[in-house]
Amino acid sequence: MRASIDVCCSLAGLLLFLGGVWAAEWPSEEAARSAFPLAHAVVQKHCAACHDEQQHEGGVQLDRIESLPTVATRSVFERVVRAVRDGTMPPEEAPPLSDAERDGLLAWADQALAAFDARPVPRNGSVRRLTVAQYRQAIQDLLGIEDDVTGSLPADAISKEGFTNQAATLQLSPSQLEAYLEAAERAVDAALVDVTQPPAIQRFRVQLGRGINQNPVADDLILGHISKLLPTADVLISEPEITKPFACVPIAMQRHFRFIEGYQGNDTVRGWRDFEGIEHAVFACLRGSDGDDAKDFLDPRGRGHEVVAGGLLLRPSIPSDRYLGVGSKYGPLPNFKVAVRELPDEGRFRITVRAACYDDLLVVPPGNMRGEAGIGVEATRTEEDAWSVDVPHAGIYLVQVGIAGLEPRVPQSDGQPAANSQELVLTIAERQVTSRWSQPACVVARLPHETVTIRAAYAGPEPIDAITLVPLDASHALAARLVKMEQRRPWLGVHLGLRRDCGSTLAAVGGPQRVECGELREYVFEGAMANFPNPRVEADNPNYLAGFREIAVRSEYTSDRDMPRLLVESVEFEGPLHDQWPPASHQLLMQGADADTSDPEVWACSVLRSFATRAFRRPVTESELGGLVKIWRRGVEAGRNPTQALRDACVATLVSPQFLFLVEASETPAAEPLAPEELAAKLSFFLWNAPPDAQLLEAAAAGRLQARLTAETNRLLDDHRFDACVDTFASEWLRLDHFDVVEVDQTRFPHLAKHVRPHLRRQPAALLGHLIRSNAAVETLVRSETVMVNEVVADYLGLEESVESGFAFVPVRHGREDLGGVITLPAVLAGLSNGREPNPVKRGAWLARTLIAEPPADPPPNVPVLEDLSQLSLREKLERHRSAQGCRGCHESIDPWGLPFEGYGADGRAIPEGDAAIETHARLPDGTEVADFAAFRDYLAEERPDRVGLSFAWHLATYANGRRPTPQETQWLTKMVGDVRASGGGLRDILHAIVGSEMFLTK
Amino acid sequence: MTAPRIDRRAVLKGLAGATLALPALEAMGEAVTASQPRRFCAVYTANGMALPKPELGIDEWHWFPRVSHEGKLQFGESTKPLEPFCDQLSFFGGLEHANGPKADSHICSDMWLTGAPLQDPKPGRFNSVSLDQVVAEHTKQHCRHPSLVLSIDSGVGFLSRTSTLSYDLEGRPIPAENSPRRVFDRLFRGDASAKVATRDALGRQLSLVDAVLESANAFSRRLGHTDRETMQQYLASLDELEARLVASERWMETPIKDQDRSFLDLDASPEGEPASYYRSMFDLVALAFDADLTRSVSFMLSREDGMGISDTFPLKLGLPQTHHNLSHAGDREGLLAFAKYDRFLSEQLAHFFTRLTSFHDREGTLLDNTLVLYGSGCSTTHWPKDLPTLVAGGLGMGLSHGHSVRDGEQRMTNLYVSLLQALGIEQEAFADSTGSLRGPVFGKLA
Repeated sequence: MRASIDVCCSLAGLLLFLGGVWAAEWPSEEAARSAFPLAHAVVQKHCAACHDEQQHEGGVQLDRIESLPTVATRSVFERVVRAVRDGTMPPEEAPPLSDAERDGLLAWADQALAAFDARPVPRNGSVRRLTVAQYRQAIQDLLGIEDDVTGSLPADAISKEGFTNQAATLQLSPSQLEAYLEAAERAVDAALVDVTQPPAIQRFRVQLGRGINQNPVADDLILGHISKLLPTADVLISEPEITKPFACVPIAMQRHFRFIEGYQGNDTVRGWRDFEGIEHAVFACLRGSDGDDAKDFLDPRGRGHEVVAGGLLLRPSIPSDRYLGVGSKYGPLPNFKVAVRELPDEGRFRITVRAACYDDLLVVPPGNMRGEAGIGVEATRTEEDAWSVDVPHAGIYLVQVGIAGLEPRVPQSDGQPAANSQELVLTIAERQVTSRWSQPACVVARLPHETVTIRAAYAGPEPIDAITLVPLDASHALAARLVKMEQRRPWLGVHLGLRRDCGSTLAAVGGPQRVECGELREYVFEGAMANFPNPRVEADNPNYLAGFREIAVRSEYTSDRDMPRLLVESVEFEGPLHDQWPPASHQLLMQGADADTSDPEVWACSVLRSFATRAFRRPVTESELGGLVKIWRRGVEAGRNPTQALRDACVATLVSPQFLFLVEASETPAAEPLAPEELAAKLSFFLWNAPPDAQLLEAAAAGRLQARLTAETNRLLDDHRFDACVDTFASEWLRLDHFDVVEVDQTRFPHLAKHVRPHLRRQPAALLGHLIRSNAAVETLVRSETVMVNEVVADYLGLEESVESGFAFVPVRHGREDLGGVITLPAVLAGLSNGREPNPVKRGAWLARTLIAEPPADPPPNVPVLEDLSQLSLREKLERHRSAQGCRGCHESIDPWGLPFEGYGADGRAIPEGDAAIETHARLPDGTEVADFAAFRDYLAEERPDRVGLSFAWHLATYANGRRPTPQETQWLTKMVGDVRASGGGLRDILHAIVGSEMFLTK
Repeated sequence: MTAPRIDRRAVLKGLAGATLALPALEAMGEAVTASQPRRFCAVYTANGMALPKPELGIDEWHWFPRVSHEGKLQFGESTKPLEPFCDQLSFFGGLEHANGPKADSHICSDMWLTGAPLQDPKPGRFNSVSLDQVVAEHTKQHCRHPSLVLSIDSGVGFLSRTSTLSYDLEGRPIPAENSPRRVFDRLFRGDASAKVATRDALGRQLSLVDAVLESANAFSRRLGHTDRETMQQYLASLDELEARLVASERWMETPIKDQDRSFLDLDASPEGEPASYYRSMFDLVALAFDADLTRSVSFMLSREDGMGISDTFPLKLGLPQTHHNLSHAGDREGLLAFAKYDRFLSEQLAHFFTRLTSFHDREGTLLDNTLVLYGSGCSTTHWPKDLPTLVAGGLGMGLSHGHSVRDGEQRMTNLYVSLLQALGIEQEAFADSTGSLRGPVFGKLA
């Protein structure tokens, strides 16, 4: 029972049928008509009794079937063909078809379907709604805002081909239009300001450093349950002066408070209490990362965070599923955050972090029991806790700290120092590190040729009896590790969210930034407040803890490599952020304003003409403009000033069909060339998922776009905005939505952790973008010598030694049998599993549909129930299933494509050899036998590259046009791919050919 | 502008004023369904209920009732006040949120109506949409207020022990109201300045939609041979949107149903006597339902972890400790005191049911056409499994009552799907639901 549900749900989600679409020849309608009388007799004799108007068993009515299908009955024809071919119809209890009857029926039906598909398809232009992503981008481009106003829009439906941008699936409902109206109001309100009022701006700074605050607040600060705050003496909060080239009003932060609960952690406290000072509004918080050794020293290389004179030192924040094996309520460690009571609700903001890469020391991991013998230089004790040593020559040294009476300690099994190890704070030439002493070999340091001071403080009762420097040869493993670490730079990440006791609501403010060594520098992170959660507490909320937001500042973790620490000197917030007044969004909206006129209506007309022209992606017509000006006039009549009255006219523009839809207007059913502006929009929404930029629109207006099509396409392809196209196309073509929902068994696959998944998810787009931009050959889709990885993905794939790119995806030569192409991507293969075991049926159907354009048929409506198979493995269940009668026919064309992938686990990685006997042999539908995955891949690359190329081209054309290619267009695609390959071309050439094709350029 | 649309709009406008009562508007059929209104009310109490272990010898104070051999509910002491409604309600045991045990147990009220993974939310989100807001989304076009969000403490509270049960479509907490007088003023009097602002906003939206409709019709005519399907969908949606705005505008001018509201005690407050406060709030809910001012209500009776004033209510009733402290009791005396507070809450709920049955709908009583969900986010304090849950009303929607349902461990969100379906909202999933509950209570739903 279970097996059948499992299998069929997966099939239903995956499969689509195209039937005869891929047939090579198109017979005439005449053949179908002449074959009809015989077939009709068979239908009347064998089918009509159940499939008539009264009964229409299974939703199929056949008694009035005609010689050729119509748009409405085409799928009925498909079902008849499949049922008869598979032998599921007529049912067992009914008289069977004779061979002649069966052949005659099928011959007619095949011909009728083929003839139908060969008919010329009327074009009639198209009206296609923008997808949510396109709408978001269009609003942001048009208004110059970053606010994402699409939160309440429903997600776009996914078409049978996997795409969200298909005309047929982009529906519109009244509620959706209501949401568009609200979104438009929010967007215009964010863009337009009242220029007569100077802007109010909030700015505050949190400086960090040992003893930086000479007058710390006397209050015992508590911020909720497990309150972990930096000592008040190490934190200095200020509101720096705001200097702008225009008049503005600083928002003085509240410093007097009165609360009745929540001020003693989460304990219920009653009784009003007053609080004074900005220290009750801004907190430097380490909740979740401080307090016990296990958390402070999660990283065996030393304390995760420590305050030094110059600021706060942070090691990379280790994601909680990495150290706990499960998602934690408390986020990564260390978990430094500035908690803030008061932040603006709207507008843009800027968070500036003054930071540097620390000139760091490398703590020797526990287990390096004796350190290095050899010729050392002993330091001389000059004070109770200070030593001095003349470094004989500049170079790398192992610093050994001997503690009286202590023997080296055996580390714990997880690599952590022994449980009874005590803290040792070492400061060598002004550089501090806190670790737990396990052995004399403590730290590796690069030292100059001079006299160096070493400070050491050991937390245990025993005295330090000797500090020795041992020079390390460059070839020494520890020296090599230090050199590697010195070449790395930490990645600074900033996040914004709400403070809660449980579960992080933090969302990243832009991407992480690489922090350089040397002088402290300012790293700037900007965003729009509306895109981050708002606590929405009322002003008089009586709870001390209500309404806090958090700005998290981290050194972002990629893998366990040695990383120099991040030194954070200060964190500053400014918002609402204005670099000019009126703001850029306001000026953008006014850009067409006629400055010379004194007539407000002429002025409004000029503003709206420019705005609507940009919104509609073509010159606005006089009657359209008239409608907008009318709205403006009504606003003025209602007493609003001319600028305020623009608001409703702009909102109206944004809910107009000319903005919400990509319109290709047509006069006849025949194909007509796209108008220049229509082409500009189609090209740009295809290649950027965004509206055309000024250059495209100018080329269109000047009538040059057609002639410059190749050059413009290249410009769009090479622009970073092409990433938006690849992200969407890769994710929809390769059906990564399966990966989004697969729940992978965390006990079996702990390495497929939550923090890894987004990177695996991005890998296919990175690869496809690289392949298209570099015009790689079609074969590289299935077999390639390079993969695209960042440090997280490299770590996942066991390639961590080969990449030092942080979070950026870079091509890497993998030199491995199990990697290369889109068919070995973990996001693809894990998505096609049940989270525990690989699923060859899912993988087979995916490969057939996605990569060789031989999509299997839909599962039949009544999949037979299997007996209880709970004792069997998934593979055995599937074997039973596909050998059952009625299933075999389909599965013989599905499963062989999936069996060669059996060597990849549900985590999408190759299963280590020797785990179990894995059967990867398959007999493919064309009779080819492949012994294993390597042979299968060679077969695809060498025997079927035209099919792989066609599949890529067919899906890309579907995505580009917002509709499936017609059978004739598919024939053209087949020929085009052959031509491109014959001339040595690649994927980029295929894209160019599609853009230059009739199907793209006509409507 | 097409002629038929002007006509309808003119008719809608022409109906304005006191000459026509609500049923006539319903007869317009466009914005209001002709069928019997279906309503939803979620009532929450924090810290769970007293579920004494058998060895304490006070089984009769166990919140879950026993069932006789004939299958009749046998109410215990703490639910005895609900006995008169035994044919109008059912108890559910074994329900839980799959995310409950994973998250901090103090925040179970945040999850109660949402089922969201609060321990690991979507980046940038706080919660996900609550059940009452899904109901409101489907009923808002029929009444003046999409929903009524009530709580013992106003606002949203502190964001880990929120003082509201309701979260909007984007998962943001919706501030609650706690003052009977404020609720009354908003529902029945209408704040004059707010009214002006709402009317102004509606007027602007209407004239805007009007202009877009005019321009879109002209645009559509110019499209020549182009495929019209999408444009028609657009124009129909815009028509419908306009009708909704007209309906909202009409509500402003439509008098509220004439009701006897003399029994209301608007001076009741959370600082005063607990019973009169709860009863006043329940009375307001019943009146709002009767006048069809809203069809979705959430009411948080008390907050988790001893937050807020409700924690002191047991003290006011002469019980030895605060509500949160009582809930931690494991001994006989402590649990007995806790159970007595459960009984107090049952009395308030019985008052609500009495009120709901005193009003008559077109068919049946208000209770017959209202689903009341009552329960807590933990069974005993901080134990987010076996959530004490009671569903009352809805006989008019096809529910069958008088049952105690316990079918192993079931997802709370499956019950929510059943509730939505009973309300006529065709939604097959809610949050992490895996299906719906049928059984004796929902088995006869269409």
